[in-house]
Parts: sequence; structure tokens; C-alpha cells
Amino acid sequence: MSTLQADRIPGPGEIAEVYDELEEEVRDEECPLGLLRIHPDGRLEIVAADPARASFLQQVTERMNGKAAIPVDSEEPAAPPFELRATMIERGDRRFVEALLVYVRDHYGLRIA
Amino acid sequence: MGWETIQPKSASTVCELPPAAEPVSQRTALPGHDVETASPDGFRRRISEGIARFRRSLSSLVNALPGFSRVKADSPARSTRRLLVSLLDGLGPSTVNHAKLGVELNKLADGKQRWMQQDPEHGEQQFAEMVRGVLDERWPGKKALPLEEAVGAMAGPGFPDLPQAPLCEQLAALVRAKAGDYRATEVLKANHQNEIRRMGFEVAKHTAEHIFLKGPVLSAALKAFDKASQACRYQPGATAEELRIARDTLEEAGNHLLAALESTHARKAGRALGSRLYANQNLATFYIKARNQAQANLYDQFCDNYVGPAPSSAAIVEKASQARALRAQIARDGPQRLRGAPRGAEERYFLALRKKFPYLERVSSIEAPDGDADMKALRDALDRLPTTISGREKSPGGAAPDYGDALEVLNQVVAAADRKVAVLVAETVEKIGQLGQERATPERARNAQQLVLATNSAVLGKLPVNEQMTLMKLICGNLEKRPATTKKWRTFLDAQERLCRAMGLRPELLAHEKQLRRDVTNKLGEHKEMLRNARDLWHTYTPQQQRALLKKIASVHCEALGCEPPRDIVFDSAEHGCLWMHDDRRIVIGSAGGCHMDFELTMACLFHENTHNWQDQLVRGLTGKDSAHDPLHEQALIFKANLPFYSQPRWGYFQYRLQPVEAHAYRSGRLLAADLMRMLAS
Repeated sequence: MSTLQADRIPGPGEIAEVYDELEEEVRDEECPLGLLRIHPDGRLEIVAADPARASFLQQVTERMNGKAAIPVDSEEPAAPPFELRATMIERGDRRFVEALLVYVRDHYGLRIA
Repeated sequence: MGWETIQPKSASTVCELPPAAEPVSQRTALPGHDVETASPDGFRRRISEGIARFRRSLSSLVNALPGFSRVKADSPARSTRRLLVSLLDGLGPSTVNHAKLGVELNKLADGKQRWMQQDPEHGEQQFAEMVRGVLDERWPGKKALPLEEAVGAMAGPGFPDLPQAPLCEQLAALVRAKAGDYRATEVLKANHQNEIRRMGFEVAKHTAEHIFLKGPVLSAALKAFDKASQACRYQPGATAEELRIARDTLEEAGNHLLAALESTHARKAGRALGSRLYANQNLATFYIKARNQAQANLYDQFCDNYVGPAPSSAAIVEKASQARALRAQIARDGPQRLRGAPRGAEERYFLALRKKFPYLERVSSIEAPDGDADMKALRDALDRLPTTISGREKSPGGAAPDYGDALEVLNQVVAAADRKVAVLVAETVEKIGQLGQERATPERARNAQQLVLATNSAVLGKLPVNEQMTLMKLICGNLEKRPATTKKWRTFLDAQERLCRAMGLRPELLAHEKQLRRDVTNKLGEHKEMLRNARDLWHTYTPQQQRALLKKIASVHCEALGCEPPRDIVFDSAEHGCLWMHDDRRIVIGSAGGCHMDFELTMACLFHENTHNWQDQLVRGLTGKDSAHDPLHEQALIFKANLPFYSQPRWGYFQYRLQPVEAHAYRSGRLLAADLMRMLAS
């Protein structure tokens, strides 16, 4: 099983570590980038950051904080072959934080755990 | 210190002062008995004296407050503080007027100089104290964060030219230190709360609270747990050690609560026990990667019987203590290796062992007769390892093994396992050949399915691709497409899924794609500004503009892949998802759910669907005998075998995701989109 499955999804209000998952694949060890606070509304706040990657982390958090809704892969049955379907989860939805963390991992290769 | 620092509560303090004007009021209360009040001048003097006394009393009271120093109304200290507050108040994160800032800094520098000349004891350290005092009063707690952002702007262009740069730097450093203190406290507090949550006692507490007839044992345990919870609440100024002690007490109380719940209400305790066993504190330990022998021993001890039905509360307490011991060992072993630093032999051994563990576990589980020479060789090699394949030390307490030698032995173990697998692969190939020579009957298909289900997955994965293809054809019989998921086809579907997973993605494809991703990112990097604009303004783009950009990106992707771009990319308001249409080679982006307005998702979808486009071209171009030498030939054959038996998501989401064409498209789409987004954010 991957490390990804090992991590419990952090809850709102928690401070979580953010790791560079793509870099980890190359180096085969954990690559922490910093600490993020996950606010109850899904806003991400940088608590601490690796100075070399702080700007990147800042841009990602700013972009994430600007999102009113997050699309996630839906596991609902879909008819035609090769379909990739997504469902929008609005900010404020109780699933938003969970969806956001999956989104950041899928689209930026960052694991928040 | 200025008057603005006086808090409203001072007003109530003033009321408790010795009444300075008391004689006046007493005397005026007795008209005719005091001649002084009869004269207007005397009355005015009395009032003035009273007010002066009141001011003196108030001033002495204010100066007596902790942290306040006696400040004369026009003292350099007061003016320096005022200038400091004014300067910091005027800072904005977005706009810094360097001319204005320069004027303010000049004033502050003058004020500071006057203040330092006033008293020989006034130095830089005292000035720093003054700044810290101002920050504590005016920008307490998280208010320091916007101020930190603001002083960050002071370091912008033009800043180094200011003559007061050292003062500016000093202020910025003090503000950053203040913000850092706030963050450190917040991190401590949040980690403490996280740790409490990760203990997993919520269900036990909730269950116990909702039991009507608790009895004395459970009541006492619940009461003790509540008391420990109260004591565990974060108090300002608490140290990490104090918090750790409080958490230990809480954990002990929680364990007692679980034990009480189990002994008094066993039927209701199951969920609470499970919640504690699989709480994050323990579950996260399950996935720790041991880096040395001490960690591997503790890890193995913890994993022994961890997964399974929830055991007794005593066993759970033991697991929790094992988890804690492992975490403590990791903390003792020090921080992680720095990037580029060489790994020691011990770490290299455990890294290699961890990678080979799944394969060795599968191979060592193969049942073989006693006289099987290959299996004996494998077991002999395993015996020579200093640890079990899960990493546990074989002779605890003995001298530390030579891990350099152990690495050599591990290579021999893998070689022995490979030899055993090679023999089984040869046998399986022979069986496949025999099945292939039989008449095509349903019986033959059933035998092939049984062969797949009975063969070790390590052996299935090592079969030559051609044999895997033949086996796939055999298990399919005369089926031309995937049948419905019914009991009748259960064996076929299980065999087909097992074989598909064993085929997976070839290392040649993964290596090839790694370079491809770099090429795509580099080519797209040439249009970085345009893509950044598109990312930021995507929601304002018309469908035509969006379509044009998607076509541009797809063509860059295809150029790197060396394949034809899709014939068209269209939006379809009737579709929710995205589709690759084989027949007319189009990518359809569903706009029904509005997800296409998300730039990141649209990029991932585009790369995903375009990967299907590439797969089609691989199947068309690389499955013939003339392309047998091509490194992607085998993967193309696997895709070709997958296509007619494509598993729909509605037939099982994991089957759908793990079949080769989807496993590849999801992987490629995700990685390419992540590379693009990271390039744009860097």
C-alpha cells in the first residue's frame, strides 16, 4: 500500500504537513514542504514553509483559496466507455475539505496529511 | 507609552481613587460655612487644585501598572513610541510609498536618537524591548500576521536605497519574530489538539455517556476521563512537555474508560474498541517505513495481529504502547537524511527489503514439496538473511550484522526467488501451450480460468507478454466482449481481472513516459505566460477560446508523443464527464455539470483522454510482428487485449480503474496535469 493510503485526512482546523508526492516518487523518501492550517471553510493558510518552495506553496494555496467549488472524480456509474466524470463540491459542504485535499494531490502532486 | 494605552477599565479604577475634589463637595454641601467657596476665584482655585491632584493620582496609578514606565507627556520615549505606532499603522501590504516611508523612518530615527541620548541606559536592546512592547499591545496574536506581510513590502524594490535601511531591517526582524512566536504557539496548540483527536477515544466517550445505567465502575472511569480532558485543554503559556504529560494522563484515563466499558457493557464496546485500535495514532504507525533494525523490530511487533477484528481493550492498550515505542524510536533516530546525503548500509538494506517484501512474500508462500531444490535454495538464502523478510531481527541481542553483507544475501534471496518463479513460469507456459492445443471448448476456457486463479500472482506477472495474451484469449474462449457481471461469469471475471492486474504497466512504458512528461512540460513552458493567463481567466473565456487552447495543448502533447492529434475537441452540454470517441477520434468535454470551468480538472481530463488517443495509435501501430523489437510493443499488446473486455465503472469501480488502459490514462493524465500546474505555479 502506498503512503497515501496511510494518511488520515486531516480535519478542519488542524495543522497538517504538506509533502511533495512527485518528488517523493523520485527520491523514495518523504519530502516535506511545510505546514498548512486547514480552516473549517477549507481555506489553507501557510504556517511554515521550506524557503526554497515557499513561493510555489503560496501560489498553490492562493489558488485553492480562490476556489468556490472543487470537482472530484465521481464513483457513480457512468454509461459510455472511457468516461471520466466529476462532481462539484461547493465550499461550505462538509465534504469540501476532503475533496480539496484529493484535488491538491491529484492536480499539484502535493499530499496534505 | 501614550495615553492611548489606557484601557477602559482604567475608568473604573479612577472612580476608586481618593476623591481629590472631596473637600470641595463637602464644603459646598454646607453653604454658609466656608467663606472660600463663596468667592468665585477661590472656587476656581479649589477646582484646579482638585483636578491637578486627580491627574497626579491617575498618572501614578497608570505608571504603577505592570509593563508601564513613567512617561512624561512630552518625553522622547512617548514621541518615539507614537512615531513607531504611526509608522507601523501606515504600512499596507500592497502599496508602499517609499517617499512617505522614508519620511516616517527619518522621524523615527530622530526620535530614537533623542530617546537614546536621554538616558545612558537606553540602547538598542531597550529600543527592541520598546518595539516588542508596542507589538504586544497593538498587534497581539494573529494581528501580527498582516503586519508581517506589511513589513515584507518594506523589503520591496527601492528599499535598499533608503538611508534608514538598518532601522527598517531591525523593525522587520522584530515583527517577523513576533509573527514567528505566534505561529510557534499555534503549531504547538494545534499539534496538541490533533494528538488528542488521534487517540480515538471519542466513540468510547460518546458510548459511555449514552448508557443510562452506567454503574459505579463506568461512572468513575467516565468522570476520570472528563477530568483528564479538562486538564488537557490548552492553556496559554503551556510548554510542549506539560502538554505531553497531560496527553499521557488523558490516554491512560481513556484506556481505563475502554476497559470499564468492555467489562460492564461488552456488547456496546465493540465500536469504541475498533475506533481506538484503528485511530490515526495507531493506523499511521502501520504504514511507517522502517529505516533501521530497531525500527523494523518495533514495526514488526506492532504489525503482528494488528489487522483483524478488534481485540480486547488490554490488547489495544498494548498495540498503542507499541506504536508509541516505534514513534519514540523514530524520534530518537533523529531527523531525516538530507537530500543527496549518502545512505548507510543499514538504511539501504531496509530500503531494499521493503521494496522486495511483497514479491518475496508472494514467492515464499508458494507451496512446494519438501524435495523441491529451488524452494530449498530460496529457504537457505532466506535463512542467511539477518532478518525475516518483514525485517524482524532473527537473533536479538547479538552483535550487529554486517548490512553490507546482508544486502548481498538479499540479492541472492531475490535471485533464488527469481529462479523458483522462472521454473513455475516455464511450467505455466507449458500448461498454456497444452491448453492452446486443445479444442476450443467451454471446458478449455474453464481450465484456463482455473489455471489463472491457481497460479501465484508473482508467476502471472513474470509470464512473457505473449503467453499472457494467449492466456487471456484462452480464458475468454469465444467471448468477444465482456459479459455481464452475473454468477455465471464470476470465475471468468475474477480470472480476467487477476490477469489484467498481473499484466499492468510495463517498466518500458513508465520509463518512456517519464521523458515524455519532461518534453511536454518544456514545450508548454514556452507558452508559460499565455497559459498562466488562461489558468487565471479560464472562467471568463468563451467556449471558442477554451476550445482553441485545449486544441493547442493537445497538439503539443501529441507532438511529444509522436502521434496524431485528436480530430477535434468539442464541448457537449448533455455530457457530465469527458470521453474519447474511438471511431471519429474526438475528445468530448462534458459541460453539463460545469466541471469544465475548472482549469486544473480540464487539463487532467484533456491529458487523460488524449492518452487514450495515444493508446489507440499504439495498438494500431505496434502490435504487429514487425514491431516486436519496439520497447512499447508488449504494452501495446496488453492494451489491445484489454480493449474488447473493457470494464465499465458501473461493473466495479476498482476493476475499471485498475484495468491497463485506465490505469495508464489516469496515471498519465494526473502526472501531466500536475507537471503543468506546478510549472505554472513556479
